[in-house]
Amino acid sequence: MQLALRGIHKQFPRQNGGSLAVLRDVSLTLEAGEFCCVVGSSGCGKSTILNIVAGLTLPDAGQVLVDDARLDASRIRIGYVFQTPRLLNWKTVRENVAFALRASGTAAAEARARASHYLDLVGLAQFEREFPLALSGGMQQRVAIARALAIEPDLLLMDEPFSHLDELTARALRAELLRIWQQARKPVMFVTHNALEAVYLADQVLILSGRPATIMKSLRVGLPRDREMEDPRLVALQREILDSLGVTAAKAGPTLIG
Amino acid sequence: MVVVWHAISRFFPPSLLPGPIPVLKRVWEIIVSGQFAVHMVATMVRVAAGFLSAFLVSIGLGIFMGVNRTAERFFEPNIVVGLTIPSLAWSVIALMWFGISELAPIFTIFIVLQPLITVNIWQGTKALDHEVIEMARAFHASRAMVIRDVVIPQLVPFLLAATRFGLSLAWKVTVIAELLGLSNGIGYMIHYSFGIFSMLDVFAWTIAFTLVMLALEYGLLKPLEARITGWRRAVAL
Repeated sequence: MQLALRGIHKQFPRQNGGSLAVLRDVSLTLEAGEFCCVVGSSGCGKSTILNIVAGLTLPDAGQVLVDDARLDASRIRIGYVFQTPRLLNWKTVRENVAFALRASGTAAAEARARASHYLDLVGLAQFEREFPLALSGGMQQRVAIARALAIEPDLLLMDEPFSHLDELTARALRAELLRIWQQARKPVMFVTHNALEAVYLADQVLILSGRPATIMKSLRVGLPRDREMEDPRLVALQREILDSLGVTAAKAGPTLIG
Repeated sequence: MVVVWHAISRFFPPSLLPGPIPVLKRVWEIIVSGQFAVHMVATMVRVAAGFLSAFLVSIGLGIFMGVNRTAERFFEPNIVVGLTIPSLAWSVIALMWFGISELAPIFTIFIVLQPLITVNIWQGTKALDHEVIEMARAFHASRAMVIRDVVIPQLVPFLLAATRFGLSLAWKVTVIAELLGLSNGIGYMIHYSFGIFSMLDVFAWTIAFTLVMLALEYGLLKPLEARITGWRRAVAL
């Protein structure tokens, strides 16, 4: 399926009565099976774009289209991985994954079996009977990823899923995510403030301006899929993104902005 | 505790402080005679009726106050007033309104407990984690699933706390109401023992009653809590 945003505007009311414009005329197209990264500085409205696509937030203006028809978020399966794991701490790891499957109408027995399968996929097979609070942050986030993948989504939304993890864990999970994505070939919309992460993962990188956010630039990463994060071509692309975001070499660290 | 009681009781006449051995004997007597069961059941029925009605109303009201700002502003002063009125005053008022009837103690328990439990549920509702509710919505969970699997588990600790202190308060309020104007129940029997000036009976009834309370707490409430909130134990690892 193809996903398109056309002229999305969004503002939020403020405590003092005014309003805060977050998105201004955001348009983008996500081709079938494409991995798209949205890059922008913290608090610029990246998560709002995902929430609009997921149907959790309504835009003030503009349209979300799926294959040129108006999106009905309840009709397509959306896997959402949030910045924090957002697990149900009173359910076991397997029940957490099964919860998303049950929510999308899978029968209980099949939900359990598929939950086990996807937990195995993210390397958590032996933890499925544990409660989330017994797991490390990285493992909890892997449960959240398994939960999003288990429903076999038509579209995967990821909101800085690795930003709270250490770099070693993040690297392993990025490689794992690419492997799974290459098998499933479903479109992914991945929000990050990490420019190198974006060029490593994406087919298409969209660069957002500061608030109110609009898409400043779109970039194609035409490199083959066995990428290395240290690849000088990726580092050059990262440089290009940082430049358009106005981050000078002196201010920026080697991989991170914002 | 029993040893200290025994030691101290030797310095006082039994009419002021009877020792544990005669008291426990008396406890046994009132139990086997069937008297205890009769009065205990009378008290328990009042506690159950008053507590359950307060609990049900409070859950509804507490959740409503937690999700609705207008309701919150409207009911908050009422609750503060309700919390400050002494339970003894309510007992007297209820007896004057309803006379010597079952309604008086039940009403008293209801009116004393309701603001306390409501405050608890209200705070619990305000403390709900909206991020996981949003997660559930993103995965298209039905309203019933959100309530059953996401909202209620978060309210359970608050419900348990409300049950525990609500029940303990309900016993005390019932006993006061019984003492003031009823003709059966544990409170009445303590009052009756006072009337015949038998310290032995006052002690025996109080202790027998306390033993039942402890049995309920450790036999029912604690295991229930451990079962429902078992997932928290993981934190201690």
